[in-house]
Amino acid sequence: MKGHSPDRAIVPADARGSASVGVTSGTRSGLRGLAGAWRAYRRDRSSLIALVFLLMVAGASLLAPAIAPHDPSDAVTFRHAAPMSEGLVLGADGDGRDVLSRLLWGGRISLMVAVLPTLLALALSLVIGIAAGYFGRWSDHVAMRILDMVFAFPLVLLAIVIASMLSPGILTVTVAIMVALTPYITRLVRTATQSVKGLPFIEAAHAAGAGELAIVTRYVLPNVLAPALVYATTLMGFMMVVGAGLSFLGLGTQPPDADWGVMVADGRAVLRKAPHVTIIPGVMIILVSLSFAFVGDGLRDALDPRRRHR
Amino acid sequence: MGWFIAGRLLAAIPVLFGVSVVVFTLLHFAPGDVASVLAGPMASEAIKEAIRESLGLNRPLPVQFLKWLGNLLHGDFGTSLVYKRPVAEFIFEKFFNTALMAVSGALLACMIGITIGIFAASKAHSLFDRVTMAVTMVVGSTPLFWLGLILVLLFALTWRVFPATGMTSPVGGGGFLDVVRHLVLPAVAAAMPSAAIISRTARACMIETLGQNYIRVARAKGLRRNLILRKHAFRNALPPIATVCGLELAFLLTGVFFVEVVFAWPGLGNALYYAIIAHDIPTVQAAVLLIALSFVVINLAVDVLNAWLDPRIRVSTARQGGR
Repeated sequence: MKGHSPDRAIVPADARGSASVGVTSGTRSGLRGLAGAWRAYRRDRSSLIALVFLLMVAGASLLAPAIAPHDPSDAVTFRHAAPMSEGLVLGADGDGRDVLSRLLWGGRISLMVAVLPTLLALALSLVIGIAAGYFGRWSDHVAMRILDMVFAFPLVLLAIVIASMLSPGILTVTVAIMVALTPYITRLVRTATQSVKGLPFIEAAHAAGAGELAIVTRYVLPNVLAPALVYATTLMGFMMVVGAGLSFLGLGTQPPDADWGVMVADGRAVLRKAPHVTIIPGVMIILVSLSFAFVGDGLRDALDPRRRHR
Repeated sequence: MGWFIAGRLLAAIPVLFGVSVVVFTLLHFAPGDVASVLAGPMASEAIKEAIRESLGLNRPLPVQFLKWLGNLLHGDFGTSLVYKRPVAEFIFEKFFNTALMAVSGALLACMIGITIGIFAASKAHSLFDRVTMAVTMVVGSTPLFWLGLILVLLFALTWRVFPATGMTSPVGGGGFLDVVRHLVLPAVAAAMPSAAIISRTARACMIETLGQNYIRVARAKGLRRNLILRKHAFRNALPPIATVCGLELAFLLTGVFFVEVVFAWPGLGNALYYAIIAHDIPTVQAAVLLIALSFVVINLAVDVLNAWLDPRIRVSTARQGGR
């Protein structure tokens, strides 16, 4: 429990460090497995609502060029911090820019910062974690000692330091979050790999003459992927908050682009006169980050065959 | 117990060494040339070279690292490039300010979190339970910087109850009560997400403990509810709750980074923020080191506290150590 930061994001106890591995036999998962998982997922209403909400936000952000009423970085009104009105559904910010348009365009960056670095970290962690957990010995030793050192840094601090070393921008945030996150997912992948490694079907595969690479890709990976994916999904919400925080500090997205963190920072100047400029992007960050947590919960139940049949 | 603590302390040494290596190398490769910052924009190449020579910047990297580490162990954090004075002169004061806020935030979070958790657990699945758990879920995913701004909006701008920024009033301030008044908003902002996490953990642990057989026996004996909750259930649910509280304190040391920036609290996070912007590498190194160091120390303390609260951990670790 040393590096607690992402564990701290509301993760149910059993999604933490000690991964619960719901074993799926490598060959029978596939389309039928997916359909079963979807049926199980659909049953949990809050996860379903969260997923629909996320898809709607993602869709609206993707369509921003088509549906945003105004240019996000151009002033559309002379009335600074204009209230909500017809034509300006969510009002204007301190520089007279349309809040709704900025929200739509900003969503693209904020969502990307939540999803992309987490997926990259997941890929990296699968490689390192399986290598350490399956092949063990010195690779395990080296990897774990390095991770121990990284765990001495709180995640947010590490991300801030990395971000401050590079020139500010979206790429910097992506790299910073990816590097800061990898140790946490790696730890989970390693634990999961170790528990799969000892199971009889791996021994059976060995006995049947399967090569190490085949065993890793066909039998270990599918079983490790599920808990890792669940953990990563839950982390995405937390990373959205971290990414917004970096942007809020000016280490992330740079003007004229704006993500939701930048929008909150911009709102500070007119906090008293027009609180909606600050409140709206903050509420979006909370809702999306919560949705990721719920989707992660639903995925965990859906991907674990033992839970599914309960 | 003595062996347990000694073992943990020994294990912390390589970690701390690793931390210093990471801090040194990370910031060594940071952009911006120290010599040009110190010499100013008009300086000639010869002057910059002289500065590099005097600071030892042209030596091999391991040599620089050992010199830096040696200075560090003597309490010399280098000279701030912005303030032009030794970092050690001001960094500890900042650290104290941060600790003040982190500790008060953590205490607040523990009190609120544990109270809510116990109440929710004692009335599990009631309306109170469901509402508070929904609220903690939302608060737990709220960005600290946004929460800080909302508190400023409500309590400083709208109702004018507490000051919005700083640690003391500019005129006639500086007394104990003045600092407390300034501390309230940032401490509450820092405490809220932690309180949410702690209350969820406390609830889960209490519900688990309340389901045990000995609780049923206590009830059957006719003991009062409060007594059962306090003496029988809480004592046994305490170790995991204490762990979370400790981890939240560690988290707050970095979490306050955002809170300090929002409230202009003169702590380590604020110093780090401005040092990063100004490329003041020695200050950044000192701030990061201090935070990482306290992080390691708190984690260590949590381990020890846990072993003290829960004899089972102590025994199993001692047995492993004796192998």
